[in-house]
Amino acid sequence: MREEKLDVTGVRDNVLDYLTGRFGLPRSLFDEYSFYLTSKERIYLGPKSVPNNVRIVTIGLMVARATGPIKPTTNLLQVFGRHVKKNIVSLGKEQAISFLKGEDVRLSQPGDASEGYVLVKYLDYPLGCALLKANALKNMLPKAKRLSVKYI
Amino acid sequence: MFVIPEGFKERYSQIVDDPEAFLASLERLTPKSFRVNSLKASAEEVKARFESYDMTVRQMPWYGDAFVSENPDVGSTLEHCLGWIYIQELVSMLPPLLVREELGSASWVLDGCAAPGSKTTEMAAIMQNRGTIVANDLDYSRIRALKFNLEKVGALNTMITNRNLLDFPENQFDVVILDAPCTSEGTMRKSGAMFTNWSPTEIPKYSRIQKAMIVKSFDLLRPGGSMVYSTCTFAPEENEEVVDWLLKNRQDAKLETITVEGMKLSEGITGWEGKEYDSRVKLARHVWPHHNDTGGFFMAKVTR
Repeated sequence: MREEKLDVTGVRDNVLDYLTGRFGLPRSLFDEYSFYLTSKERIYLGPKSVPNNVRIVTIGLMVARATGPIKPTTNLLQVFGRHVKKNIVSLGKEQAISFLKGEDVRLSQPGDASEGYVLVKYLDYPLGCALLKANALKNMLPKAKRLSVKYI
Repeated sequence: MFVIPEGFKERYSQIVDDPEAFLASLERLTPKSFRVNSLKASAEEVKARFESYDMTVRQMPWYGDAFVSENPDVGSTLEHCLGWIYIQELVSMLPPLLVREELGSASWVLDGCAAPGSKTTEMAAIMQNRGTIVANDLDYSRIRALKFNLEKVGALNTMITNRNLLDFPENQFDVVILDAPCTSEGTMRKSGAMFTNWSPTEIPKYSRIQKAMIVKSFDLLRPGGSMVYSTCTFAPEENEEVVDWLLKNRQDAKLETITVEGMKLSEGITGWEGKEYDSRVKLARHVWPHHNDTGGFFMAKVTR
C-alpha cells in the first residue's frame, strides 16, 4: 500500500466529481475520509489519520479503480446507497434474487436511469453496482458476494 | 458423544456458584445470535423485516442491537447477505460495550487481535465510522476474513495491520481492545468435539503470552485511555492471573467497575491453586454460561 493521500493530487476531486455527478451523493459525506491509492492502482476510502510507523495491509473500502473510467464498487454503493439520488434501478423480488446470485437482469421497461453504472435496489435495500446498457443490467457483484438468499 | 472430562469438572466446580447448572449448560448448544450493523440499518428495521419472514427474534435487554434467534436460517436472509446484520456470539459483543462512551469520542483505537473482525466491526458501528481503528492480527491467514467482514459491514474508519502485537510500534491509543488468544473453554458449548482435546496443559503457555500482551497493550494506551482485556475461557491463569500481572507490573494501571445492565456477571476470584491475586481483580467479571445462556467469557476494564 502506498500511503499516499490523494486529496492533494486531484484524484479526490475526480472521484468526488463522478460520485456527485452520477449518483448525486453529497460531497460532505466524504469530509471525514481520505482517498488512498494502492500499488495496484486501486482507490480506497479510509480514515484521515493513519499511524506513520506501521505498515498498512489495507485501509477502509475499495471504492474504484484508478485506471480507465471510474467504476464504483458494490461495497461503496452499499454503504452510501441510501444517499444516492439518481441512476437507481429498482428490482422486484424475483429479479433481486437473480441479481444477488450474480446473474444479469433484463429490464421489462426503461426507467429513469441513464446508461452507465447504476445503483441496484430492492425496496430500501441498496444491493450493489451494475452496468446498465440496452435495457439490461450487467452484474458487477464480486464472486464472493454472490449468494443464494432464501429470505428476502 | 459429548463427554465433559473429569479434570474439567473438578477444576471449575471449585469456582462456579452452581456446578450442576454450569455443567448442564455446556451440554446445550449456544443460542444463535447476531448484531444489527448500525452502519447500514437500525434494530427496528431489522426486527420488522424478520417479522415479515415469520422468524422469531429476541432483542437482548442489555444491548438493543443484540438479538437471539432459534431459526437456523438467519444466515440466508437478505439482511445477512448485505451486511445489515453480523452473526456474532453474544458475549463477544461485550468488550466494545464496556467502552461505548469512550469510543463515542475516540479518534485513535486499537483492536490488538482483530480477526475475524467481530469487535472491530462493532466498534466501527459504535463510532459511526469516525476516527481511526487499527485492526491488527498476527495471523496473515486470518486477515482475509477480517478484510471481508470489514468490507461487508461498510467500515470506513479502519486499517488492517499484520504485526506481532508485542512488537507493535509505540503509539498513544485512546482505546485498546485486547481479546486475547486463549484456550477457548467458553466456546465449548458450541461443539462437544472440542472437549475431546481439552487438557489443562495448554493453559500455562497461553497465560505467558497473555501476560506479555496485556502489558504491551497497556503501554500502547495514552494516559487517560481505556482498555478492555477479555478471553473466552474459564481458566483463572488466563484471566485473573493476567490482570494481576498487569497490576503488579504497571503502577498506573487502574481497574474499573464493570456493569452490563440486564446481564448477570460474576466477580473475579482473588486466589487460585495456592496463588493470591491482587484484591482489585475482583472488579473483573466472568460471564458464566448458565447465568445468561451464552458462551463463557471473562473481561477486565483498565484505565491508565
